[in-house]
Amino acid sequence: MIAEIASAIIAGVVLASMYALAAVGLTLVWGVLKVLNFAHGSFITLGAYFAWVALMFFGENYPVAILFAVGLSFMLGFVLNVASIRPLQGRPESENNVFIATLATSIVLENLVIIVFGGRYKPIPSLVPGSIAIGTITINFQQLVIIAAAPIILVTLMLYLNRMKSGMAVRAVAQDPDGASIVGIDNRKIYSYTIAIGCLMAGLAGVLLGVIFYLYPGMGGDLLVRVLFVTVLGGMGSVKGTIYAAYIIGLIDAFARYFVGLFWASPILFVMFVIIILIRPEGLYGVKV
Amino acid sequence: MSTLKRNRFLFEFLGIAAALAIVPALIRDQYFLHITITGLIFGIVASNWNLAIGYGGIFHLAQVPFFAAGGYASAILAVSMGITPWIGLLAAGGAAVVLSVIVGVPSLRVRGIYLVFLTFSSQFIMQSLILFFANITGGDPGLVLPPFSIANINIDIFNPVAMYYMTLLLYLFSLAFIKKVTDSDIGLALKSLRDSEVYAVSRGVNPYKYKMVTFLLSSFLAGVCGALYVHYLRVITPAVLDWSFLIMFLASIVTGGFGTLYGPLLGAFILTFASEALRALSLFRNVIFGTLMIVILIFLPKGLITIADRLLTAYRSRTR
Repeated sequence: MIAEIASAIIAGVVLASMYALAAVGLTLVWGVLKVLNFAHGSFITLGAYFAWVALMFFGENYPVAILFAVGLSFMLGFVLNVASIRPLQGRPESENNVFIATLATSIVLENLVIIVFGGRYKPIPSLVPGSIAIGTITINFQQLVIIAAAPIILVTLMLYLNRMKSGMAVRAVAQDPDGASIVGIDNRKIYSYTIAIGCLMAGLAGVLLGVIFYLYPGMGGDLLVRVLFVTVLGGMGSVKGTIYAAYIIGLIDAFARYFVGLFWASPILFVMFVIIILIRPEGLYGVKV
Repeated sequence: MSTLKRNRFLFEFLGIAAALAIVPALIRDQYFLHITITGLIFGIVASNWNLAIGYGGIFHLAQVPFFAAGGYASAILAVSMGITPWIGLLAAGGAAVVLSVIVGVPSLRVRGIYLVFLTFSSQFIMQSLILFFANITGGDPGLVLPPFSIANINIDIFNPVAMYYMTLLLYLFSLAFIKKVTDSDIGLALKSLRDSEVYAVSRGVNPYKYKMVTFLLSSFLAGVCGALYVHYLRVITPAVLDWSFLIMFLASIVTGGFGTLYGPLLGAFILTFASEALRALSLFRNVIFGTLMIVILIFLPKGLITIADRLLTAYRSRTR
């Protein structure tokens, strides 16, 4: 029993690390632009496939692969903004229009991934081979790397937002776009940077997701539902809340899978999702809605 | 409303009815009719969804669950109780309305993105329920269904002409229904809520009440269409809840025209025919459709129907 609980906790923390990395980008974009980037899931997929490409063609060098994936996702973030977010902003129904446009973008990207890479599951070379056994529990080194990497990445992002000048500008625009432009911040520039940073985080999450599981064209889309749940529980727009929420949901998810059954994990989370939206839509740290 | 405007609608209504009614006489090809029927059914579902998201400003994603609820209601009645699909058709509309109350009562209290999330969850919860009650829903393999029949003549995929006229009648009913709703007090209230919610509320318009009514009204025909579609194909599986239906209906509205009367049907026809014509491109089709949706959203926010409108106005001003 103790071994089962311990494995569930480890699996939960690994899931939570994924959810946290995948969700911060989405919540950041929501906080600043007040739009839901539905193509976020596709960027998770793209990140994983970019890393795979780098590993196949530039040799098995993980730092290069991660840089390649993250850099490309960052640059594509600007393209995403120009193609399907910026032209629709400022319209009366812009929130819904951006949702539809990014949904359409995700269809385009997902199908392009299938066309280019094929629909089959692809394994990616392991980041750190080997595993360690404690009693009856086996932990892969990869899982340990991810458990450690997520907090480091998240703290780096928080430091950027709280300490660096451009990071503070992002927060300023999130709090009050008009006030930010009065003190000389170029809102449009911050919007496009925020989307690019969101896509960068999605790409990074994708690489790590590919490392622990497999690559397939729907990987990001399948994760997106959980990511939305994490974002809502954390409070849409709150990076800190989203990180806490990711660990809460990750653990609940893993425990539900271990002790209630694989089939029930999703329905349990969905019912929780509905209840949270109804009784506390602002989540843990969000603004009142 | 002026009599001129009402006459204009009557004129358009009869024109569409006549134009669509002669189609089977002109083209005898079964395959062509099959695509036209699919386009019509999708057009009805999209038009009714448009009533909520285009006219009502209620951006929700529960239309596919309504469609599926209708399909399953009629399917379960037919398979486990042997009830004729003709009654199933009405039961399907009823089931969709019941579902819309269950989803609407909590969902319409929140707005914006939270409304999207709640209605979006209904699809996944419904999927789990269908798989859980596999003994009556047939689970993953689904159910094989009886067709509509009159005096031992089956109206199904093998008899597309009869099916075509049945679907056409339903579309014409849907058209008149949507026109009636948008011209009524409900339509007026929705317009005022969409344009300025604060002002409308201050003038005594209850937003929750009108949104709920619109939500209910827009679900009924989606349920009826669900039943029509599954009895036409003679099979129902959890694939009726597929993401691709949502994309199809949404793309129809976007392509045809948000908040327009004829736009969703135009969009549904364009998309069903284009996807048949471009079948050889397989996945590139979806890339093209996705790109098309974005381009139309950016450059033609009211959809392709605006082009038809512009041509018509240009023609009128020239002949005058």
